[in-house]
Amino acid sequence: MTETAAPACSVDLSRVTKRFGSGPAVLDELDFAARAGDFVAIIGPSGCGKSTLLRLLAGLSPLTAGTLHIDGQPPGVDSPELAYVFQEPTLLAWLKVAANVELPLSLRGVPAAQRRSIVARCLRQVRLEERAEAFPRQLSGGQQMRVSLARALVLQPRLLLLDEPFGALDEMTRNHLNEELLDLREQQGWTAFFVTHSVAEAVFLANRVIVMSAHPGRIAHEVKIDLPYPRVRATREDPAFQRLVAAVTHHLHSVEGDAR
Amino acid sequence: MSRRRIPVIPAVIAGIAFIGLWYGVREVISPSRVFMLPPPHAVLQAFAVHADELLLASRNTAIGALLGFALAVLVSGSMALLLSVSNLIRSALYPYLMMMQMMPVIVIAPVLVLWVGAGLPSVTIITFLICFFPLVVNTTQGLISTDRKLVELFHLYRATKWQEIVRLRVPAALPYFFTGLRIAGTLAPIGAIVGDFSAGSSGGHGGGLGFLTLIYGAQFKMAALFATVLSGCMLGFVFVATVSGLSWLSLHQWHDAYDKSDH
Amino acid sequence: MARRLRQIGSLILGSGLLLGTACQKKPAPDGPPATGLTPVQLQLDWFPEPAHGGFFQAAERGFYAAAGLEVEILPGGPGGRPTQKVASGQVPFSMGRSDDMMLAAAQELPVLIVAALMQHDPQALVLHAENPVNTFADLDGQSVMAYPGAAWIPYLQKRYGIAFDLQPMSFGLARFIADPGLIQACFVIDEPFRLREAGVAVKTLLLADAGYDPYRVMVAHRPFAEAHPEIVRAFVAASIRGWIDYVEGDPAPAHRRIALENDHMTPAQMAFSHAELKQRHFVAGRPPGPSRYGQLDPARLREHADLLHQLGVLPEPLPLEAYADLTFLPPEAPRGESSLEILE
Repeated sequence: MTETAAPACSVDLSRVTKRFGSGPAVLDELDFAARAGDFVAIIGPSGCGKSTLLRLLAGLSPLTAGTLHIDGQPPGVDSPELAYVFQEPTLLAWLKVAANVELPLSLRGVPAAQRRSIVARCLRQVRLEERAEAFPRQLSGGQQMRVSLARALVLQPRLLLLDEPFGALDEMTRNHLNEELLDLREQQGWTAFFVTHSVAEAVFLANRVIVMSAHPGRIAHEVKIDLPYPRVRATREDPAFQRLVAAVTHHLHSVEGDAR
Repeated sequence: MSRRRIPVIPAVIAGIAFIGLWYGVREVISPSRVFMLPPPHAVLQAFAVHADELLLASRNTAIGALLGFALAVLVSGSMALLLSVSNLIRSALYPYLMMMQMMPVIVIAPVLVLWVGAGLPSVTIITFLICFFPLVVNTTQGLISTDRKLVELFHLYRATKWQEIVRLRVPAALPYFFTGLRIAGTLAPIGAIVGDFSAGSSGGHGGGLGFLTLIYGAQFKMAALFATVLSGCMLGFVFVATVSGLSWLSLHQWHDAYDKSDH
Repeated sequence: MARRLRQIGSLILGSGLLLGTACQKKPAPDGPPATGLTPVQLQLDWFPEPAHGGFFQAAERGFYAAAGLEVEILPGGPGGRPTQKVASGQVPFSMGRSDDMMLAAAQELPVLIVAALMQHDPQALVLHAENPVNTFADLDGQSVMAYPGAAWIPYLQKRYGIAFDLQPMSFGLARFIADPGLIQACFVIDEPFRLREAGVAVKTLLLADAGYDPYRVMVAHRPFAEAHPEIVRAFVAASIRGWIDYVEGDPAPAHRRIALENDHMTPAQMAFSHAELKQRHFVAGRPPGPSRYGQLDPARLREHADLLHQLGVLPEPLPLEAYADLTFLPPEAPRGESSLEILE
């Protein structure tokens, strides 16, 4: 679209290890490189450290060992703009939809006029402009998640971290939101890390799927998803899609077998 | 939005039954004790006879209650902010706040009278002491139990500590604050009456309801005593209703407690 | 501590409780016990002290037993509520001030004044010696700690055309000692001694000197008095005998018993109280008239009831029969004769 998207950023992990206190390693010597614009889906059994990885990327938690570079820089105050979407909508219940979306901008001190136009645009993008004056609890779960997405996008992030954002939604809603998320990617262009439990969701969204194993968390397999973008509803019926789902499922079963 | 309907008829029936029971008890009670329970109509009559005194005393008690209540809100708010910023401060001060709560008013009243004088100043401080604890405990609890994810969100957005407090912790603590406020609202008129009882003065604009209770008690005016008690109840009701109204105004749009489950 | 009115606060706190008391002590005697004596109870209005001396003297010297009574003397205190107890029939006898009994009777409490305990009430105001207030008229604009609702308050204000603030009584004398400006209601035979012991120089204004002069009285539960006039008569006679003996004779028997029942009573304190009672003629009445132990003057009672009505404390004029019955009194001592001789 006409939006002047900031360029997506690259992410490099080298021998990244994370342990809590003196416990066992949650993440053990992870090596991974995401190119600018990659959509990386992370899938794996519980305890494989998926969410921990996301928190390291966000700078919410420090590494125990190894290096992490975003656009060649360690994470810090001047690292590229990133946004984090939690599994829950994590909205401020006392603010209306528009004000929730506006929050990151007003915390940054963006002038009010500018804020209004950005908020209006982002709400349009998630098709919630009608509910701008509603309070979060008046929205459905899917709508709340859309608000959370819109809020993540107002700062034009270059790295988007999504921690099972649609995990609590029904399948229909989840599919819709997946399609919308890809639409947004077309418009904005960012690098994404997307944690999920759903193989179909991972294959539908990502160009790279990482299958992790647990105890300790390691990257067990990587599956390239060479389905062309834009992907639409019909993509899910494509035999190539089905084959990739089967392949990822196979890898997932193998690591889950290892875990047992 | 549909207005919540308060069913009136059961309350009216219960009220009538209560008054019936009241008269009934008077019939069963031994005649030499019947003076202890004046009949409802005598209480109503006492309301009429002593209307001026009761109104003035209610007004005086209301002023003391309101001042002490407001002071408690201000001080507990600042105190809760202070307590919420550090575990260390919290563990250092909490035991003393608890002790403050345990302090018997009847013991502290004479000291207060010495320090600040009888009447409104003492009544205000006693009300403050009674209201302070539930407010500070609830508000602090609210300030420190903000959703961890929301706090992380603010960190991710590189919010300043001040922004985190003002835009996140304080509004998130409002439901807790109002819980404390409702408790304090119930206690404020009681505090003012108790304060009046032990540290009041007929000076200024006259005593409050506690003072009136002493007078009617001395003169064995049981019906007037009951009327005084009822005045105190009504004052308490006004307080609680006002606080509930404020709570509704600030929370009903967004807080689940006011959910009418009509998405 | 000023005390007579202490019961008031507890009336409010206690009346609810009292209502709930299902079982009540029978005021009527349950037939003669093994001793052959009729058991009755007397509710005091405070912890045992010389102001109750005559009752203890009567008990210790066997005057009650001689009258066929076994009197159980129940101590009072901050929550004693003697008027409520006697009105509700928990005890047949109590004591109090005649004006309070008039107020109680006006509110239809079944209480009956049956005899005088003291001809004059020792109630007073106590002040620090250096307090510039020297007369009742000086009280104008002052703040007085007393029991709100007491009838002497409007009396003083009306008689002297003054206004003063009231503060409810607090327990103890600590505040008085700490605050040199404080004026507090007291019992003239008691607090001044304890304050002087504590090193505080004080002066007093006796309410009776202002012309407000109720009796202190013996009170009976009205239905009890109607059902058992002979017991009331015996109690009144023996109590008066005890009072005469206590004031004019050797108070030692009563003081021994009081000290036994009240740890805070020192011999010096009791000696002071006893001397004050005697020298100021509280019990027997002021000279030049004859000693009038126990006697009630109907004219004086009526005058006081009228005064309370004029002050607006009594809503309606109250006839004597509503609050007192003088038929239980023994015949008055003829002029000039010693009270002791009459009753011995």
